[in-house]
Amino acid sequence: MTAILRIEHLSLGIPGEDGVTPILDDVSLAVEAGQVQGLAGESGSGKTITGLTVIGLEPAKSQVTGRIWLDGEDLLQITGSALNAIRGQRVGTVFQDPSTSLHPQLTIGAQLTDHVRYHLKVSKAEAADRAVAALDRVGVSGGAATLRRYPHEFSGGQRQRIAIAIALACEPAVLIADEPTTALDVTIQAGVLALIRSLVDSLGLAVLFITHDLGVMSAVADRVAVMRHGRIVENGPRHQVFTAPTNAYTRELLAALPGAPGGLQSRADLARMSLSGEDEQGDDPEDGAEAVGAAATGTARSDKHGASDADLDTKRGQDGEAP
Amino acid sequence: MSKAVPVISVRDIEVEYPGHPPVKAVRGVSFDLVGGEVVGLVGESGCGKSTMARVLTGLVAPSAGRVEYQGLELRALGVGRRPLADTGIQMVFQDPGSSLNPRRRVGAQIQDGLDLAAKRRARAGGRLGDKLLPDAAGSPDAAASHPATPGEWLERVGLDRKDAPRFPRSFSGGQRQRIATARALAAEPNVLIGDEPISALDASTQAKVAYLMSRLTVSQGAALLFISHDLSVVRLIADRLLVMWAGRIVESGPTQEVWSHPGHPYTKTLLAAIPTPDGSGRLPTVPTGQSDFDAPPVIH
Repeated sequence: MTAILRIEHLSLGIPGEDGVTPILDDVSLAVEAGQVQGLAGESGSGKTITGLTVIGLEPAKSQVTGRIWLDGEDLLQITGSALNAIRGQRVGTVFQDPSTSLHPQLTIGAQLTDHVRYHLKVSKAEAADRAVAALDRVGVSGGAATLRRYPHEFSGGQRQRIAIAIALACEPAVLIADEPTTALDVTIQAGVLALIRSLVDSLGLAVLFITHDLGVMSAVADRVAVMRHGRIVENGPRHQVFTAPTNAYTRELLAALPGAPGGLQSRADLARMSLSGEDEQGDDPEDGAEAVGAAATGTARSDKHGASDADLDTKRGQDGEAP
Repeated sequence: MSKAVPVISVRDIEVEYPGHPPVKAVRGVSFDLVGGEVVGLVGESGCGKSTMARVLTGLVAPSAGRVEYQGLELRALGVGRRPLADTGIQMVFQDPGSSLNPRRRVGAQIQDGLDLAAKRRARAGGRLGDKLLPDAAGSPDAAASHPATPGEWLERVGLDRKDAPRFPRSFSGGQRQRIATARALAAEPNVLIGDEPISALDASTQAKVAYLMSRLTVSQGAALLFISHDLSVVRLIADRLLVMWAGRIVESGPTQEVWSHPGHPYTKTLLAAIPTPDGSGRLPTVPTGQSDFDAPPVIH
């Protein structure tokens, strides 16, 4: 199987007052047709930026190196309107929160047909037909009447289904799903995960599935890559990554997870975990290291550190942290 | 445990939010909390669990029913300061970014809690009413049961006593929730309410912070009501579970019983929908409907 989307040696840095802050460091990933490539990691690991860079939505002024191949074309060399022809048509995207990714003042129909007419140059009527078919595919019933309704008339789960319908309306080969179920209740999440899996199997879609939730990852991904500090530390078949991880950080993540192989199964495990090892490992070790310096040199330093911490938060904010 | 005198008794609480039509957020909820136990209140968005937290802290007035705290009816907050006696109920909120005052040093905020405890103790003419449980007395935390300074509290929650002069913004999310826990427990509450206190944290930090909260609360002889939509961590720390759906408690009982043998159709659906991080590739079960969720509550 050849990969439809191939990310090669992608590095990204954001220039600031104190030089370039590295965000991504030599990221390589391949997504094949009919396959879900998972990208896991905690907040600030760089997983969302990876997805955004594929569709050219990395932060302005980012310094990007590497290649992102889509069907033999390097997306990093494409700019402007040529990139618009790819976004939405050949690569669809679903974001975390359907209540903000859908336009609240536009009907579902407008949001489902605008990009279809732009990309595929079809008539209004044909675009509407495609929109109804797209809604049908994601299990939102009601046919043509649904197109006249607004996002607020739908539940969170239905809104995310609609967002998926919009992403798939132009029948892209690749779908980037960034925490698509994180804002949903588990009973609603179950339906959306089943939908994504069935679309992958029936349409041969290639999906880059980004999530911090390893339970979700275990349910839906074929391959799992684990990111930390902008680097991919492990990438392998799902079962192997969960049951025989080769990387120490992956093992650490699983060990702190209830129900994972080698993870927490009982209160006794919790007690053992809290006695052994670093207390706040993985939360933000760099923050901790800097914090020690801040405490040692007093308040002024602490204030300065606080400011740089706020900058970091902005970047994390783009990482689709759980609500 | 059921024979012990409850520190909080919740009886037939109903809460209605104004609107057209009014929203019934809670429809008749009753339960007790006993000192030294950890109770998990779980359910999905809109089930009424956060409204219950607001009732227990006096932030929302119930439209029916009553809450008794240490034998006296708990009144909802007015415009004035919270009655001193009621500060024995403390809370840790969801968002580590806003649960601490960003403009005050963390040491000063923990000192607020210590001052509250001192005031309550002075009014009670000595020791506070809370008592160490026999099994907690032997735990490592019991030796110096109530740290006397913010620095000692920071150490108790796994931070450095030198951190006291720093501001909340220089701590990570998990560290801030540790500080919020220290601030709440420094007030020597006999009830601690955590409203989704770990939901905003990274997975690797969630279990640690939840365990810390439960361990320290129990070692003080206080009750912890841990509210969460995520059962996977709660089931590890809670002695009992209360499962809420549509404003009602649909199932309650010892955690292991509820987790292993769910009796109510909603609980069964909820548990089946939780994805297991086992690498199996098994999709969680998609709920087929909720027609039978109105079934009578199951009490283990």
